[in-house]
Amino acid sequence: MAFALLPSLRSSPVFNAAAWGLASSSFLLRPFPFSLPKLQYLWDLFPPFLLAVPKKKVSHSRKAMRSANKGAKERTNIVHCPGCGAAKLAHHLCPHCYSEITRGFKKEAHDRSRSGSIVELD
Amino acid sequence: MKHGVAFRKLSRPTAHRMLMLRNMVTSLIEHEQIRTTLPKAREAARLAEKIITYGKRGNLTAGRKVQAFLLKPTLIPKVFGLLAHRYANRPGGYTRIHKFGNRTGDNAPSAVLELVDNPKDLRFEMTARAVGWELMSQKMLHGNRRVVDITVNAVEKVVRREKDKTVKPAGYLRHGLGGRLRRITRFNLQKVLQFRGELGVTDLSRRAEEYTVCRR
Repeated sequence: MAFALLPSLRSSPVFNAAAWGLASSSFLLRPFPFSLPKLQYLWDLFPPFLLAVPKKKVSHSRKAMRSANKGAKERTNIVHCPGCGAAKLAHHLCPHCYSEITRGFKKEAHDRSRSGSIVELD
Repeated sequence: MKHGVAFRKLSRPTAHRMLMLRNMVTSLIEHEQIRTTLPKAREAARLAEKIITYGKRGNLTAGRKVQAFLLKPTLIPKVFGLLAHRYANRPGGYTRIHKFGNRTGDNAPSAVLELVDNPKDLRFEMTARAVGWELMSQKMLHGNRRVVDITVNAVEKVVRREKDKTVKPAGYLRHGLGGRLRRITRFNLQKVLQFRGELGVTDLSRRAEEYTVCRR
């Protein structure tokens, strides 16, 4: 990317010695005392000391203090199911009772369909 | 702003939304109990109750409206026959929504939407279990611990007495004055037996007794 920019820079008026009115453009015609580093990204020109970075590893204690109020909140809406006595959410169905009830109904329907079937394997 | 807008969009365009709700109501009428997310259940309940109201009206206009809405023509006789008869004396409130935790895939609040007084009525069954549980626990506390059996007649006697008692206001939580059931259980008992008649009383007593047999 930098290579692409350099030719255009050379041809720009900035580098034009006549535009600057320099008597001798020897400064610019002389070879550079250093060469520009081969760049893959322009980001490489950005000095590393300008980036934000932690100075030290965050201690276990400080890390724990920061996550003190990140815990899960307590549920206050847990009650006893009136049918089976197990814990359940208030105003919700008891999952154990629901499972039993629906399975019971399905079994009844299955037994009814079986007893009504023509083929009886006795 | 959404001030006063009664309907939910359910993140779907109108055509998709209406078809989904029509499908849901059709399934509800077919199976009488469906499990879905809570907002969808609330929207479907509204439409289902309107369909049942048309069923109770029974005239040609109502028939045409139901035919336009339902996706299975075989259910139209059910709406105008079975459901109209079942809810003949009930002034509205033909559906019931039970909240049922959160769905595993996306943690969406789920619900069971059912038609009231259907053969698999959840509240009816839960009330029967609660009655059985309470009578059982009372018997175990005061009676002989070795022989704990609750006959159907005993349960029926309690149910008949409790179903006509006035439910006391909040504050009388346990064994409201002169009753053997908790206030909430008695309240639910009266609710589920209101439009069921004699058959409901015997059915509930039988279920309560069956439940206590299993728990022995």
